Amino acid sequence: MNRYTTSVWLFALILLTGCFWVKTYHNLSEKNLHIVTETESGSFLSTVRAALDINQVDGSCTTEYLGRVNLRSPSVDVGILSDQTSYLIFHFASSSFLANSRSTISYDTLLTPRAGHNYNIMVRYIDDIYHVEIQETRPGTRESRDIARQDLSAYRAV
Amino acid sequence: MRNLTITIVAIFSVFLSGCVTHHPQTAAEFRKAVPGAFTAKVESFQVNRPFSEVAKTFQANAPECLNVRVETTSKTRMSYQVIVTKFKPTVVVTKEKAELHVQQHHESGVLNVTKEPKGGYYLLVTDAYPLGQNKTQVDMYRPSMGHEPLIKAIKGWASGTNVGCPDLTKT
Repeated sequence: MNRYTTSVWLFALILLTGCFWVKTYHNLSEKNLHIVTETESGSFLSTVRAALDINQVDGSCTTEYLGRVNLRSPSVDVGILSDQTSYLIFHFASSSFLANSRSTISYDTLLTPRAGHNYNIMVRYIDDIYHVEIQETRPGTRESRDIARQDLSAYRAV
Repeated sequence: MRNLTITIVAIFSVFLSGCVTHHPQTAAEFRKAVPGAFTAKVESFQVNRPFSEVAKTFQANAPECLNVRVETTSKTRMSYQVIVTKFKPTVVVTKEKAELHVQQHHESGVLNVTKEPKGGYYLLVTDAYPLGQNKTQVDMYRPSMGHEPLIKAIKGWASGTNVGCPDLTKT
C-alpha cells in the first residue's frame, strides 16, 4: 500500500468516525442526579432508546456541549456541577423495523443543582407518551420539591 | 372512445380535487368542516373534573408538549424521505369554554397544494365546557385515522389521568 492509498483510507476513516461519534459525557465522581428510566415502545416491531445530552450554560447563556449519557439501564447515576446551570436534553429515539423509519423527540430543561442536594429524575416513554419529572431532595432530611421545567429561551430573555 | 376516457378522467380529477381545494383557515371553519370530512370526526365525552382544572392543564401542557418541531426519516431501497414538521398549539380560555387548537406546518418534505392558514393546517380542535362543579364536557374535532398519541395525550390531560407529552413523530 503506498502513501497515497494510506492517506485516502485514513481520511475516510476520520470522516466515518466523525459521522458516527457522539461525545460521551465525562461523569463527575460526585453523583447528584439519580435517573430512573422506563421505556416501552408498545410494539415488538419497534424500539425506543433514551439518552441525555448535557450542556453547560455560562453567564452569557452560551451552551457548551459536554457529552451524552445513554439511559439504557433502568437506573443511572450522573454527576454534574453544583451551583452551575446545565442544559439537559432528554432524547427518545424510536426505530421501526417494518417501516424502516426512525425518529427522535426531545425534552429539554435547565437545571441548576444546589450543593448538598440530590435530584431524582424519572424519565418515562410508554406507548408514545413521554414524561420527565425532576425532584430535588436533601439527603438526611424529608425535604423534597418538584422542579419545574425551565426553558432556555426564557432564561435568555431574563 | 378516447373522448370518453378523457371525460371520465376529467370528471374524476374534478371530483378528487374537490376534496382538497380548500382547507379550513380558522378553528371555527375546522369545527364546521370536520363532521362532513372523510378523515376526521367529532368525539364527545365527559370527565369527572372541574372545568377550571381542565383549562389549567391545557394551559400548562399544550405549550410545553405541543410547541415542537419534529423530524421523521423513512427510507426504502428506492427512496429516502425526511419530513420536518412544526406544531403550534393555541389555548383560549374564557369562563364558558376552554379551546385547544393544534396546527401543523410542514417545513420540508411535504408539498402543500392548498392555502395554508397562518401557523399551519388545523390538525385538531378540542373544546371543553363546564358541566356543573366537577364535570366537564369535552368535544374533540380530530383526525379519524392516525395521530393516536396526540389524541391519547389530550384525553389524558382532560381527565387528569396523565400529564405526559405525545410523541408527535408518531402519526
